[in-house]
Amino acid sequence: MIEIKNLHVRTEGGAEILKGLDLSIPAGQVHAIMGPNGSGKSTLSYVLAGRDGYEVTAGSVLFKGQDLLAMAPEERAHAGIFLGLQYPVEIPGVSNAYFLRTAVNAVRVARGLPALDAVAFMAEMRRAAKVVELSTEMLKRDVNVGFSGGEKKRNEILQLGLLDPEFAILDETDSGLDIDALSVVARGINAHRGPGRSFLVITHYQRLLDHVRPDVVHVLQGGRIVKTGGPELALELEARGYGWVTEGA
Amino acid sequence: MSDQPWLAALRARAAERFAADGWPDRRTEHWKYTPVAPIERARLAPVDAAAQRAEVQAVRAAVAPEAADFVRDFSDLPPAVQAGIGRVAALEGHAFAARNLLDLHDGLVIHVPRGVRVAAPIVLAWGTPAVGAARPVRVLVLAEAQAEVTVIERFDGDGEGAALTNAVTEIIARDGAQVRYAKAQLERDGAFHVGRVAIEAGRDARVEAHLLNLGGALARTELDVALVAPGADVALKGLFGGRGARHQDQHVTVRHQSPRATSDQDFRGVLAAGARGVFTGLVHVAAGAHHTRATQQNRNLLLDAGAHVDTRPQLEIHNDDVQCSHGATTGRLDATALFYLRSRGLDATTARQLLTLAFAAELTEALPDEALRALALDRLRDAITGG
Amino acid sequence: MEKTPDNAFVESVVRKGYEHGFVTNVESDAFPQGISEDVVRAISARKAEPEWLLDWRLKAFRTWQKMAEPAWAKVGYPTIDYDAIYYYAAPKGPAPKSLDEVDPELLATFEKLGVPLHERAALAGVAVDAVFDSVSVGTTFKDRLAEAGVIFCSFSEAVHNHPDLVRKYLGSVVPRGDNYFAALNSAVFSDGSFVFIPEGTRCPMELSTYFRINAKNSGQFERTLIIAERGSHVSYLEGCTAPQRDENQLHAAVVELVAHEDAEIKYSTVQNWYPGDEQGKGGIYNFVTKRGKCAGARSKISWTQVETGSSITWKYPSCVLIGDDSVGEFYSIALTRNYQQADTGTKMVHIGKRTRSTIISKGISAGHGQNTYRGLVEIHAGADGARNYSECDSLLIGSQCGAHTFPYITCGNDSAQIEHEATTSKISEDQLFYCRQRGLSEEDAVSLIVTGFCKEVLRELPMEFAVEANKLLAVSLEGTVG
Repeated sequence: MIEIKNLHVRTEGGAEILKGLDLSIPAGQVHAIMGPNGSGKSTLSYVLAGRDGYEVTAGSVLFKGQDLLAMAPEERAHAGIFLGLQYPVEIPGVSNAYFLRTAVNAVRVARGLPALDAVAFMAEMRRAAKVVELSTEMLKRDVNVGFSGGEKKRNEILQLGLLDPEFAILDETDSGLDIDALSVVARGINAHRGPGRSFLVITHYQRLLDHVRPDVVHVLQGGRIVKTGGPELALELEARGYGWVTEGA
Repeated sequence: MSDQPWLAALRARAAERFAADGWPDRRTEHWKYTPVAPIERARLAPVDAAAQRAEVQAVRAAVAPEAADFVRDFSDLPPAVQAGIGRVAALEGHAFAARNLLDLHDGLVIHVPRGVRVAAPIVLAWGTPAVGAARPVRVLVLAEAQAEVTVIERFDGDGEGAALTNAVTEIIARDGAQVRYAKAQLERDGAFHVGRVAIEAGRDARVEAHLLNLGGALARTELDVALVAPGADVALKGLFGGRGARHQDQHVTVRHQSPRATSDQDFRGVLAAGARGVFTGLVHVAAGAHHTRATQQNRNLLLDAGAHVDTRPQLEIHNDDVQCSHGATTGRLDATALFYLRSRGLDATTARQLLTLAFAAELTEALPDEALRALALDRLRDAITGG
Repeated sequence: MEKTPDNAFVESVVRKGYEHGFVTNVESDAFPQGISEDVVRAISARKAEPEWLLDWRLKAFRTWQKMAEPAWAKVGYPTIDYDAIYYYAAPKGPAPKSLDEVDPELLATFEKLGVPLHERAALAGVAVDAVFDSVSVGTTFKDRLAEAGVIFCSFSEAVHNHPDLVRKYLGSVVPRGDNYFAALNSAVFSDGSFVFIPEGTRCPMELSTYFRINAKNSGQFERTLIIAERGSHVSYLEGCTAPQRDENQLHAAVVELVAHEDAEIKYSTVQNWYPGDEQGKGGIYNFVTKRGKCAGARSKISWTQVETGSSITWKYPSCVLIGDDSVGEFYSIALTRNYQQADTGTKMVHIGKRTRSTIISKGISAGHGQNTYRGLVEIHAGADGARNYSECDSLLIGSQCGAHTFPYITCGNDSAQIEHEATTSKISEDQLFYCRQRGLSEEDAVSLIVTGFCKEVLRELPMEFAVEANKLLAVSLEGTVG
């Protein structure tokens, strides 16, 4: 599904964040990336989604065989990339429902599907909202404005459900969630797992992985993947911290 | 003793300028809210050279001994230092700045060499001008790269009778310099005060300027700031007002001429019966000044009927990569807070004083000098009681 | 790597053509170019005006001659040659007595502009007065309005049919010597709309005037007067378009509103005069004086404007709040792109006790556009308990444009409460990225974010106009990204 090879990235300020990252995620798998603060986890997610402000100095990213790095952010979205943000952005004055419909139809049209009319979209949206337990009231409010941390994250998973991506990156989706919100979000993610869809779950803590069981766990440190293992690796990290990974290496 | 040739040349240029411009009037946009006519009508006579030199020496002599070495008068200035005089306070469109030079025979220069940190605040305590006198006061603060200095100018007043202080202070903070400056305008009730503080901040320089505009019958201070190199950071804080027939005008212009510079303005007025406050603040962001961050706040408290305030917070932005905001509020003391304090046993006057001091607290607490703070608090208490 | 503002993004800021740039081919009956007492007399004579009105015009003309064109606004333009303008241009032929007699070419023009004048085709619930160059060509739904006692007619008709009302109120809010352009208008105004809502009446439909400039080199000088008697209510809309031409054309209108006790006037404008081309060539100079007087207690005047057209906009729809507890509102969106310049805002003059005003201004600058908010809030000594809240936000798209905020706040009453806030920033990178990550194109993302930015103002527009305004904003932003 996605092949990342020798990825080197620096910020506009000039600091090198990713220093030769390799990662391959086959279709249908859920990979988790864990790592200490500042290890480059969010940078990786932004570079994959095409955000300005990062310069790729070496390496390649292939998504279903296409050169992902050559594409505009919306083209990546059309191709099937979804990024759930750690801090979802507020857009005052724009209702959530209107935003979602605009996005869904932009993606549908780009994929050669007919745009949904208002009635069909509302039905879709209600169904998707139910999965993450968002009320219709929330859908009428402005995008993420006045949403609690948990509501913002559920709104991200709602969009994941509506936009039907093949590869979803979830950047610290568990941060700032209480235990109830975490289980709702996790249930939402699990509902979207399937043979045609891969996930990259970026997290700082093990607790999300109790709910969303990964196939593979990677440790990102100093801009590179320094260790890869099964779900048990996450437990070990939780118990022993990140220090031992590099010591052993 | 005659003037130095460079001073004579500056005076000649100023004379030309003044002859061309004349005094501003109400039609001059920058003087829209402040009448100059009362000053003209008072027919004040310029202080002569001998008296100016005497005052300059007296002020210099009162500077704390550990800082005295950094303070000079106009005699015998190195050319590089002398060139700073008149450099940042432009004359065009500033009749009073022209007049200041025109009448000037001596002044003070604070020169802090590269990397030197002057620990003791340099306090320049200007005395009271004689009745009927127009007195020019001139100061240059030149902080070389990485230098650090605190300068406080006080204009105290006692006695009575009309007089004019026309004060121009230029502050040049070179790369990485840190300058704290405070000006306390506490002139007597009948006095006029027109002042200009012109600041130039270099690369990563930080300048903090405090203005206490709390005395005089008619007082105006212009603060002109130019952020000329990346990373410059200037904070301006002003407190104005009082009780009785006072007109206090603060006229601020901040020019962002370079990327990644920051400026903040916080001006607060406390106006009681008879007092009129004016705030004009312009933030100008030039086309190339990317990543500019600028804020501007003006809050005014009207203590009772007969107080008046005019405020013009202005933004002029020629560049999209900015974060600029301004806000202005005018109102009276919060009735609920007053009631709350009185319900806890405070009498009305004490409650009003307490809330007024609280309104100004962020500014008074930031003042770089204890004596100044005490003076400011006294003036604010007087505004309530009419003392 | 300075990635923003992305050059492609900036350069393309608005390439969209102007939809209403066509010219109608009708023979025009115009006075010779230039202005003089004779021209003023001729306009008055053409309209068979009473002596007092000619006198009023002549006084205005003499005042104007002594005045200087204002230079304080933050706009720049070459000197206007007032002798090169046609002050009166009207479609040839006798004035139509009813809509049935109107030249089909003119009807077709308004139809094309989306303002059908045949009542069966017209927007339900909206009565329209259509002004073409210097004259009103027809007013719809007059009879139905008359049943409710509402007078809605062209200004010229009002002068003949309701002279007492016109005489009483003309110049009562904007005196003929108020300012340079108002004085010019007072001397040479040709037509416009007149509205009178009788006591206790809620106007049964929205009233609307559609202004169209067609003739070349002509100026349009219309005059609108709206009087809302005690306890009445009216919502009035105006729209404006002009052909695409290389020469600048002057539009100097005066609008006067009078709201008596408990009356309410809601005045909405969607201004889409020709803005000039990408190089800033051509376009309308929109120099307009609009003012409302809240004369009675508890009266209310609300201005809403969406300004996307004109090469230069100079207008400050204002409220003089005389009646105790009266309310003034100003909601504005001004969008400047290419080389457009706007200097617009409001004056809220608080005279009565407990008067309240709200100002919400949203400025969007793109391309080389210059956008200035200029406003006055003045609290007089007797305005106990007056309140004002102002919010002026500016959004910048591209590094060549400018946004300026010049509020003037004067307070002479200690019980007044005034709050002013303003922000200026570029369109948020975070918001743009978020929208694009969800599949929106950059252009759609900008349009969506700008519409959200303007929502507080857009929701003040009557339904019929909100749709048009939304469309206009989207169209104006088209091509803002590459």
